[in-house]
Amino acid sequence: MTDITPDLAARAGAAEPGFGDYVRLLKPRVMSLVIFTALAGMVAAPSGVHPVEALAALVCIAVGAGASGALNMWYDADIDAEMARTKGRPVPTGQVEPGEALGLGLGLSLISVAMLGVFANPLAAGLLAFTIFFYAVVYTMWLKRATPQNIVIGGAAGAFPPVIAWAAVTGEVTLAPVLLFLVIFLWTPPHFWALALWRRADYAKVSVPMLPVVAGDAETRRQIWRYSLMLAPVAVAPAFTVAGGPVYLAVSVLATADFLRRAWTVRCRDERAAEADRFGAEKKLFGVSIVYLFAVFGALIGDAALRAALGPFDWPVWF
Amino acid sequence: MRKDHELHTRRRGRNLGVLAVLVAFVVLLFWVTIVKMGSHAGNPWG
Repeated sequence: MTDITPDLAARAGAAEPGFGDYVRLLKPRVMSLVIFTALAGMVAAPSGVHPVEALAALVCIAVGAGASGALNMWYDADIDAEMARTKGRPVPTGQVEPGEALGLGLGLSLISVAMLGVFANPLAAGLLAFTIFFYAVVYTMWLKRATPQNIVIGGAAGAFPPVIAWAAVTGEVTLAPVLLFLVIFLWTPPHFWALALWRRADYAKVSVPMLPVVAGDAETRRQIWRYSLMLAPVAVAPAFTVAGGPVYLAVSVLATADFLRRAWTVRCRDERAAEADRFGAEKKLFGVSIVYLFAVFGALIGDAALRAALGPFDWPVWF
Repeated sequence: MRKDHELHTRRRGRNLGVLAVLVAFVVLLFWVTIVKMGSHAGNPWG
């Protein structure tokens, strides 16, 4: 029998990661959004794939997203330690060693891509591999610290899950999943810049060139409005694809109108007004934008349920 | 009987978590295999 008492004594001051610390490394909140948008893309796609195969593909996409989160936390540990929002993450707090985060990220990346290739098809596996590479290397290692357009271009990584899911169950990428990609791609800048407006000091402290740090408060508000305007027609367009239907049309029109109203409120304020109410409208836009994405992609599931209940019905398909 | 050290408790939790993930992975792999064999019955190359 081995006596591990000396080991315990040596580790008395060191943190010993629990299972939950490894789970936090995978960014479970981001994963939930990835899972939901991928699920919507999967359910909305016209395919006869078995539910178990679809579930397996969904698990692979979720694990791939988690893996890129772990790689992000490994690389960004230095700046995460300085920012109020991120200083409690497992690597900066010392609960997980950087090498463990890197190993977990790389290991789960390989497993998720390989298994998606086995469970679904090479196209979906290739798209997942590209997404992980894009988030971990292009966004995290290159764009994030180099340009204020970091989250505009990097947002593509978060926009891929419904496309991967669509490819997993149909074996192809058509205009409908491309529109779903564009919805998330154009939604990302207003979502993140609303957060960056009130977290500007954090980003400035670690020299991350987020738009409010580089271009200022007023320009960020203008850009939030511009991207929201571009989002509006693109968000409604999937209603007229094979994935859409009346539920999506109604939800996307109403939710986008509300999103535009809130973005306009943020656009019309200045820094002084925002500071007076502690960035109330900006925080509201950030919070509502998350609900918005769930609502819009949830509506795709609603239309799929409607088709399952009523059978195929006449609906204009323009794209 | 000696009371477990806090580290042991944490490690047990971690080990059980890893076990649960591995079991879930095996079940998923098995289930997908059964489904794929069913859908491609009679055509081993399909």
